[in-house]
Parts: sequence; structure tokens; C-alpha cells
Amino acid sequence: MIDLEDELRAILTEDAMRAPAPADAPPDIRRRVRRRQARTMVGMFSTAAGAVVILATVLLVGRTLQGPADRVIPGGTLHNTEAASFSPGSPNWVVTIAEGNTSEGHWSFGISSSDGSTALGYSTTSMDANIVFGYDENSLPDLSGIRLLYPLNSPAPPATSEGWPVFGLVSTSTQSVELLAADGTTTPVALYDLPGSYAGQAKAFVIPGQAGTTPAGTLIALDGQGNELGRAQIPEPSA
Amino acid sequence: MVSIDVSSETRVGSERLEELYRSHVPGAVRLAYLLTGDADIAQDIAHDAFVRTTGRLRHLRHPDAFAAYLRRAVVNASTSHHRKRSVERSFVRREAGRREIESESLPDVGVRDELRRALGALPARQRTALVLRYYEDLSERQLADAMRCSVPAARSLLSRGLSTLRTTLEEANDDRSGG
Repeated sequence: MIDLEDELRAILTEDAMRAPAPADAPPDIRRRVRRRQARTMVGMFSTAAGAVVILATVLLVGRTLQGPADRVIPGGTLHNTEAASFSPGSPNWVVTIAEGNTSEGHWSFGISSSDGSTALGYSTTSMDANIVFGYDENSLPDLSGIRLLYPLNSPAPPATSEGWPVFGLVSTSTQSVELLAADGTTTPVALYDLPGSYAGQAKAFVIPGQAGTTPAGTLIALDGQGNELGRAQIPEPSA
Repeated sequence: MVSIDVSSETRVGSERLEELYRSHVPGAVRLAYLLTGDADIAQDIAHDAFVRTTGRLRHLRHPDAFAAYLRRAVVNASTSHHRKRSVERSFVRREAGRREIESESLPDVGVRDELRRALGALPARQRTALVLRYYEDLSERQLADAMRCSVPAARSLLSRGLSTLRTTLEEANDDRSGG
């Protein structure tokens, strides 16, 4: 066995001596190496860029699929703003979403738009102050869950008072909104689709103000299967 | 003011490339020659393997392992060469004829001639294993790494290759004794 292995080594060494022995790298080899290195670099950068894009997509999808909450999906920030062409009792709505009559008189709920500013408003003839709620983009916000809208210049929900309305926005997956009272009873709340040309992906609900009543309780947004999508507490009545 | 001497950078890169070439390519050509039996093909294979290995910038990441990467690339290319072009049988025939003439000057003509012929007739993987083990002096683990197989598989290739060679030599010896 040893002899065979030694013979094999000798033969292979001897044969290898007959192989050509290049001294310097031919120019075409240098060029091919450079080209290949360049391709490798491009490939590495492309892979890195692709990984970043995939990561960003995964993060974005993850955020989109996040559970229901009062989170505004990117597209703008809801805030209070002046709406143009608005006068109490005779609002200049570009779209009237709902209207009716209560003991307070005629009320309407609509969208005003001027100079690129879109606002959702509520008006009643007996109120000397309007309530206007705006959005800093030319559409209402996409959202999940439920969001109460506040009167003009109020940074937070004001305390409710007799005759004031309660209204706000819910996601488009909401099929109904209920008002849960402290005693456990529930009352359906009117829910309206918003016009797509002015509004984003949202629906609006409204409880018109009425003399002798002060809205109280918790508003709950429900989907078609009765699953809760979000809830919001109506602020306590003012003293 | 900071300036970058691009020509100097390029020169350093070129010198490094030349250095790698001079250090490793002749050995790669010899290995490819033993695996294929053709000087031109051996040179092509060695150059391709060199371009592939340096092009992947592996020599920058693991400079110490460059020889191993290059060897593996040569083995792969030689295996592909045999597989794709089906030249193994013609190689065996050509080598057998050529080496009968070349080996006339060798001292132990009979044994070496038979050994060469038997080596050339081995399946490519067995021959590769024997070349790596007895020419490159690789350990079984290094051999397995170069051939991208397990250590037991590498051991088996070696064992079967040696066994075939031994049988062939014994048969040739018997023929000579009988004849």
C-alpha cells in the first residue's frame, strides 16, 4: 500500500511539472477580474438596497395591520381650523351630510371647503357659536377605531352641555356606533358615509344637540360581526 | 486640501492582483492539468477560477483562505468540464496513448505506465480525490471541503480509487508474469 501511494505521489509530481507555468497575469485576466469585482459591488449594493426596501415594506404593512386604536393612518393630522364661508344657521356646506329638526331648531352636518381647507361642521340656528372641525389636508383622515371631534380652538374634548351635539369619525369598517350609558343601556347613533371626493376613508356619526339633554356615556364603534373596533368616552358635563 | 492619488490606489490594487496571480495561479494550473490532462484547458480553468475567486472579493475578506477558495473553484470547474463536455473517455484514450511513449524513459516503465493508465481511467471524482490527497497533500477534511462533500464520502472516494488502482496493477502484474 505504501509503495502504491509513493508511486502515485511520484507520478503526480512528475506530471504536474509538464503543466504550463504562467508568470504574469495576462491583461485580459486583469480586466475580467475588474469587471467581476465591479459586478460583485453592484450586486452587493443592489442586495442591500433590496433588503432595505423589503424591511420598510414589512414595517409599513405591520403598522397597517396593527390592531384597532384611535390611530390616524398617515395622510394628515386632524386639528381644529377655521372653515371659510361659514355662518351659524346658514352654513355654506359644499356637501350636507345630514340635517334635521330638534327643539333647538334646524340643524345640519356637512363639509365646507374653501382655499384648499376642508372642514367638517355642525350648525344649528339657535346656537350663536359654530363648531367647526378641520383637517390640514384636502381630505378627512383615514383612521381606525373612533375619534370625537372637538369645537373650534379646543385642544381637547370640551365638557358637554345641554343642547350641544356630539359627533366624530369612525373607520370605514365600522358598521354601527352605539352609545353605552352608565346604566348599561345602549342607543344606536346615526352613522353616515362621507363623500369620497372630500373625505378620506372614514364615516361620521352625530348626536344632535337637544334642549334638556346632555349627552353622556361611551361611544362604541362595531364592525359587521359586532366586534368592537374602538370606544371613546364623552367628556363629563360641565358644572 | 486633501487629495486622493487614484493612480496610486489603482497601482496598489494591480500589484496585489499580480502578487496573488504569481503566488497561486501556477499551482492552480498544475492541479487543473492533473485533473483534466489538457494544458490549454488547465490554463483556462485556472484563469476562470482565479477571476471568479478574486471577483467575489473573497481575498479581501479572508486572505489566508484564498488558496483553499481557488482550489475549490478549480475542482468545481474541472468537474464541470468533465461533466459538460464528456471528454473523460477521450482524455483517457489520449493519455493512454501519449503516456506509453512518454514513459519509455522512466526507470520503472511497467508499473508507472499501468498506474498512469489506471489513474486516467478512474471516475473523475475518484481521480480528483487521489490528486488532492497525494499531490496537494490535503487532509481528509480539507479534501472534503475542496470537493464539497462529507469527510466519510471523501474517505470513501480515496479508498475506492486506491482499491481500483491496486486491482489494476495486480492484474497487469499477473498478465506480465503469465505472458
